Amino acid sequence: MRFMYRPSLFNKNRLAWGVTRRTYAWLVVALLSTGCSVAPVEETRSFSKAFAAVDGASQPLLDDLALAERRQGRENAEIRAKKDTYQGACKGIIWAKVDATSGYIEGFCVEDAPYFSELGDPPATQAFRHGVRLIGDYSEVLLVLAEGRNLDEASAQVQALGQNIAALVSVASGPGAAAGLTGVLGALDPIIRDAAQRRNIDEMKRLVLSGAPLLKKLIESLRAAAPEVFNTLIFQSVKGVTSPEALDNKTVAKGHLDRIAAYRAAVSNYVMLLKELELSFDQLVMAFQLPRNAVSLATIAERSGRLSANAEAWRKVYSTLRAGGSQ
Amino acid sequence: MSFPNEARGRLTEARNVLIDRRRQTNDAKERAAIDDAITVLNENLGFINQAALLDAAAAVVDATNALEVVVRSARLGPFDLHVKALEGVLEKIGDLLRNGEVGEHLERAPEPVVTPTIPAPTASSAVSAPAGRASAPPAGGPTTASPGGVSASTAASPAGGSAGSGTAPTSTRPSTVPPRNVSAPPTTGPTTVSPGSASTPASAGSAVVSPGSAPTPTAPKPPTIAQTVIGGVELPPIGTTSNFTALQSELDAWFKAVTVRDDCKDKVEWHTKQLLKHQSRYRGVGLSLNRMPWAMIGVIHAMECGFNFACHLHNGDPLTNRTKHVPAGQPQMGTPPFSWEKSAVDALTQEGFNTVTDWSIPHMLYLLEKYNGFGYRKMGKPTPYLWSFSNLYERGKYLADGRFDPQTISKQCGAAIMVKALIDRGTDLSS
Repeated sequence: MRFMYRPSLFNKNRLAWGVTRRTYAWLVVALLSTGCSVAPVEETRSFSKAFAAVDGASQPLLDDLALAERRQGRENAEIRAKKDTYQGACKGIIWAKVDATSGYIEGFCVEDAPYFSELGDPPATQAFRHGVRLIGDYSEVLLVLAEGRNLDEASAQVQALGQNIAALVSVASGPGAAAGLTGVLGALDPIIRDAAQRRNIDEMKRLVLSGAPLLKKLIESLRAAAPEVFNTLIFQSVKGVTSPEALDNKTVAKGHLDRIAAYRAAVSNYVMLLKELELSFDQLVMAFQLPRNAVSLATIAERSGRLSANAEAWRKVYSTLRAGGSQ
Repeated sequence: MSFPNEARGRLTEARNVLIDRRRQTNDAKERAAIDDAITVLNENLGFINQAALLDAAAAVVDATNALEVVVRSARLGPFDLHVKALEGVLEKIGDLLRNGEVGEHLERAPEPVVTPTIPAPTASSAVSAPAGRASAPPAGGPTTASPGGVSASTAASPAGGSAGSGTAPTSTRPSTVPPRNVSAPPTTGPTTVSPGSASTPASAGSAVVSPGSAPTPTAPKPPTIAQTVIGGVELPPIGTTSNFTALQSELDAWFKAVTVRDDCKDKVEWHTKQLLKHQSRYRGVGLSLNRMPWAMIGVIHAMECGFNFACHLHNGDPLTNRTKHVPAGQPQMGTPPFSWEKSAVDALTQEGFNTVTDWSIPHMLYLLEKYNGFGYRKMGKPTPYLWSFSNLYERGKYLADGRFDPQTISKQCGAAIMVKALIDRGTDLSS
């Protein structure tokens, strides 16, 4: 195809200007000199779907975690002040009594600011949310490349470049040559799009293979944080269930126990969805490492169906949690 | 087992013991003491939870940062690298092409020099024209002697000279310094005398004088016209003086009438963009020159150097040495290579721009024309230095050898056009 287009490019338009001719030749060669493979669209969609499930599970959980973390941070600040155990820059900040049951922290500890602030998430929640969001960005980038959603823009970019070349040609060789070149650029569009898609696949491969160990590490760190997420989420219930009221009244205790159980289910689901996310990503990695076959496609379809079911199960669990009352 | 889990386990065991004891006792005081102890255990649990959560978050942050590097490196534009490289190449080529035009560097236009009492020269007394700017008269009016060793006695006006003669003006021409080897007469020159202006007798040996001075038999003025039509526009005639007061209304009217030729609009646009792109550098120089307008500096830079920051503003010579062409040996202070700014300040200071306080448009145009030389006025031609690319300029320019060729068309964008384009964009020209 390269040679089919060469004559029309370089003769028909009478490009007298050598620099422009070489420049344009470079462009065409650059467009065509790409690898050849098929985009693993299904695997990418499966990964994207798995992420959507994790995201759906994690966001309400992280909303609750933000409340719990903030409350815990405030309570710990008060305890430090009351016991005069502040260290470092905050050392010396103590509790000022107003009466036997109320008072305030005398002074301001900057390190506590994220817990007293109403702006954004407290630090740990912020880190988890950022991690999850980044997986979403990664998934979205891969999906854009796999589905070729950037082709229109890429084509327009090359066409615009061609217009610039045409403008220079018009300076060097007159407007007739430029008009011809513009026409040829239009005819080249399918080739440009094809080349762009092949470049997309190359870029996907690079992102998937170089990102694989890092994504797995991120998923693992989110999973490893799950126990602390759980402990923080249930802390108010733990205090509630060990309070004198609950110890003396099983009905009071039951509400707290139900809540602890619901959070255990929610966090467990979150962990399992992270596992699904990892498995779906493994499949995407394999698509670039091994030839795809009917079995792998069937696995993808099966996983895709399971992800939908998981997402539905998650919604039910969380609605139960919400019905149990807020902290 | 991790430390937080182990600590939590111990605290929970202790709490379990307390809860068991609480269940077994009915002593209110003991139960209250147990409740307090459980509260303390829970407080400790809270501290452990907070610390463990932050530790877990730190691990997530590390992993996030590592992956973020990969995600941010994603190229969603498949051709970004090539396109960026190509765009850089194209921009350079475009600059080169356009620099071929702006870099044309209009030669100095030798200007009229008054020789009020000197007899008319003979054909054999023709001399080389001095470099335009080197011979520039003071703003107040024409000089009375030609610089560069050219004596007034050898000066002659091209007015009335024969086309392509290449010879000195005859005795019928005014005794102003002509350009070297004038190849064409000012056939489109003034035809009528403007009211109130000093008239030029047809007699020979006259000299150009500044407006307001009475014509004398030895110094008649060349004829000027009341109105002239250029590019379909009726305008004041091209004055032959170099006195600003006399030229002010002319320059003002011409500037108001000037429009960019259709075929030059993209080139003027490019020039305007270049000026705006380098605005901060020009402004920096302007601020050190008593707030000389940056646009004025930029326009001179365009005219003299084609926006090339590696050349002297004096004459376009490279900054790596002192100037070799006229004015040679500049800047006299400092050691090469010079910074563009240092050289520019030197060049503009030598021209006295740092003492100028009138930065009205007519005066800016006057100074720009003076920078290149008033020689076109003697040809009765609009100077391309100001008007090229506009409806007010068609053809005619001084060549490198000091010869005026009425057929050559300047390929350089006129300074007035650039100023007008900036004003039309609403740009503040001041520094």
